[in-house]
Amino acid sequence: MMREESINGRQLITLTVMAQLGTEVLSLPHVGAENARQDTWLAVLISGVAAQIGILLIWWLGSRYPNRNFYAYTREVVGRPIGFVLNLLYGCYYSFSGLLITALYTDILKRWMFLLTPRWLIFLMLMIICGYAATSSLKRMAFISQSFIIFPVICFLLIAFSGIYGLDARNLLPVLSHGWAPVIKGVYVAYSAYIGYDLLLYAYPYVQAGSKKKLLIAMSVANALTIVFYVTVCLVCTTMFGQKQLIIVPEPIVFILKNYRIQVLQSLDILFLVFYVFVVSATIYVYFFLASKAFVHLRTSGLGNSYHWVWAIVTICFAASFFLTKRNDILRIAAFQDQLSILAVVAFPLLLLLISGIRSAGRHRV
Amino acid sequence: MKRTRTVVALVLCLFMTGCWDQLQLKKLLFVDIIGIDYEGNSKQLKVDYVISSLREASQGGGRQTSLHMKTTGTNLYDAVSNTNKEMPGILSVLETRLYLISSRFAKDEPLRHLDIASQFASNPLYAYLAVYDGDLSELLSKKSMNDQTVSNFLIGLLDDEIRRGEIPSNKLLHYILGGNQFMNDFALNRFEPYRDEARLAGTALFSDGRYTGKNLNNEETQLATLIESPSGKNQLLSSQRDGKQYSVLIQSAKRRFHVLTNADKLHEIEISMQLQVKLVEDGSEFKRHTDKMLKDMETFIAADLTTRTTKVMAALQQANCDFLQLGHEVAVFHPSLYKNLNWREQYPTLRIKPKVTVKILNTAILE
Repeated sequence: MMREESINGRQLITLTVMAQLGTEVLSLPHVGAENARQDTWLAVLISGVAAQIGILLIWWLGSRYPNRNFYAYTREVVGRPIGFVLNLLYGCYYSFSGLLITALYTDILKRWMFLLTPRWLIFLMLMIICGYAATSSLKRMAFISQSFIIFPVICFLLIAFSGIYGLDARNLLPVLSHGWAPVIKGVYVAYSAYIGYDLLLYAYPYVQAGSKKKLLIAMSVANALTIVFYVTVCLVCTTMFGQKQLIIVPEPIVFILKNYRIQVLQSLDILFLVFYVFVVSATIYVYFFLASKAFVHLRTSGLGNSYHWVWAIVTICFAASFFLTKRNDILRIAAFQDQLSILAVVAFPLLLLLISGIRSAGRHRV
Repeated sequence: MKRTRTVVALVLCLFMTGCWDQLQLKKLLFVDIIGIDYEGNSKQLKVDYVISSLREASQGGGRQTSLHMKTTGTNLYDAVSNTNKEMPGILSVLETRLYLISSRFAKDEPLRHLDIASQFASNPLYAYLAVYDGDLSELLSKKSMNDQTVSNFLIGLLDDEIRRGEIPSNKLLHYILGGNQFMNDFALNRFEPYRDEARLAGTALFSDGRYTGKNLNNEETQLATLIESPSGKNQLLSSQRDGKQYSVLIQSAKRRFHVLTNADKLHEIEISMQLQVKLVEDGSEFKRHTDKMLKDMETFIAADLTTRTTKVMAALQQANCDFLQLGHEVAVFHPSLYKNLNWREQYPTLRIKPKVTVKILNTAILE
């Protein structure tokens, strides 16, 4: 196992929450309304429960190899060549995810605030900041996340209290008016918002939670906090907007924050978008960090070092950003990434768990 | 190496502060009111701006002035573009507080034109939306009203009356992009010319996003607002009993809708209102109120308010304006019933029965 400073349970919670919360907070009510209509909150809640099952799966897999991270034991489970391919795939997946989130956030900033600032510059700023953070250790990233956790808390309070400007609970009714089909579709779409808990794939052996059980509790607490955040956002948006409005407005949260009129502050919504960088960047640097670790583990003895891999990823992502200028393209790629996420975060770990279980059963029989 | 890093960091910080998107305060023209009407008999928009600025600004003081501008365009964006050719500076709608539309414009497709406001990055979506039944340019070009700027006068009227719970709070975002209500029916506050100025004159009733041409007067607006968003804000309701004037100040209000069905058909909607009030009576003959006297008074006020509320409901039904969103109530709690209804057709003839109950808490500060 490569050297990595360990983190405690509380740090794991912070890091996981920050990794889970991304640009989805802004767009989830809109995307949800397109599919599940007034039952968006239900779809988001169910996908949170599904994410909890995902966490259980990864925790189970990690428990089988408590002293090694995911990339270190893939070879043992599926053999050297497939393990190599798997690590490579994970490296590409996390790099791609980091690129996509940066593109989505840049797109939001470009549409709402920096109309004239070149896109590449915003991209470069984010890449440098997130790249720099990703070169640090898991423990340092956890420290950074702990320092910034106040921002999602403030965001949450602002969103929750915006309800004082009038909400109509009837907008949530009737529940399941179109049956379960739209909700299930909504669950699939909302599931990607919970991605980030897969950090546990790598972090498992480096968490000093006291016991396996406590580690699972820490992850569950993190996921529960994210569920509360997302469900509140969806409830507030659904009760404050009409369905037609939610389908048209891609970032209803920004519209809601415009409601706050403070004498000494002109635009709380703009301030929110700026400070949201702390939340989004956490997801990005965690992804770049995981990608670099995956590439380092391409060879058992280590291929290069994580520092160089991070900057290589950042450079490639920055170059790729020049091709991601059209919003529709970004959204299409995001839909594709949702499918990839299911593969990387659910399907592959499940498959590895099964193979590992079968092998272990075989060994016992022998 | 360290120095290079520091220089790079500083340059990046400079970029972050927004070299490209910076707006110089001295160049900004803060639009306080946007007035929209049609130009003559054409479909071209005539847009009036009231731009507020502070003259002779000094520490803690200055003189507020407003500048009126008029332009035309096919839509709001086009009008802004035309204004830029007529006036140096950058129009900023970030702090716009009021959209005032003419009744003629309101009767056509006002929301289709107003939808575009949501496309401005710095959109004033929570500005008030109101109707003016007169010449908009004439009103907005006034230098002052009652020793106040036009903006402060008109918006002050709205702010204060909303705070008193006398009129509905109409924000632009509530109606555009399909509206945030189930039915896009609403009552917009209405201004009318008064002497050399303007005054609030009830509300203009909208059905499906269009002005019906029918209005509620001030008193009806007050009652409609009370039913729509019940809250005790010390609203004053006055009437007479045996030739003697009395007033009640509403301390708290609760409202419930009861949808009554009959053999899978919508039979009636009952609106029950429970008011807790302070009673203030006219005259010099003060006498201590006994329980019986108060009970009688409660019954009388309740009956009077029920009659008045019934009239308000009739006016709303006549305009086919479901201001109370009763359609939503039926759709939510009786979805299968609603599915077989044509709400637009049924609403004007629906039996709606208001029922007000009153509880007198005290008689202000005297016995």
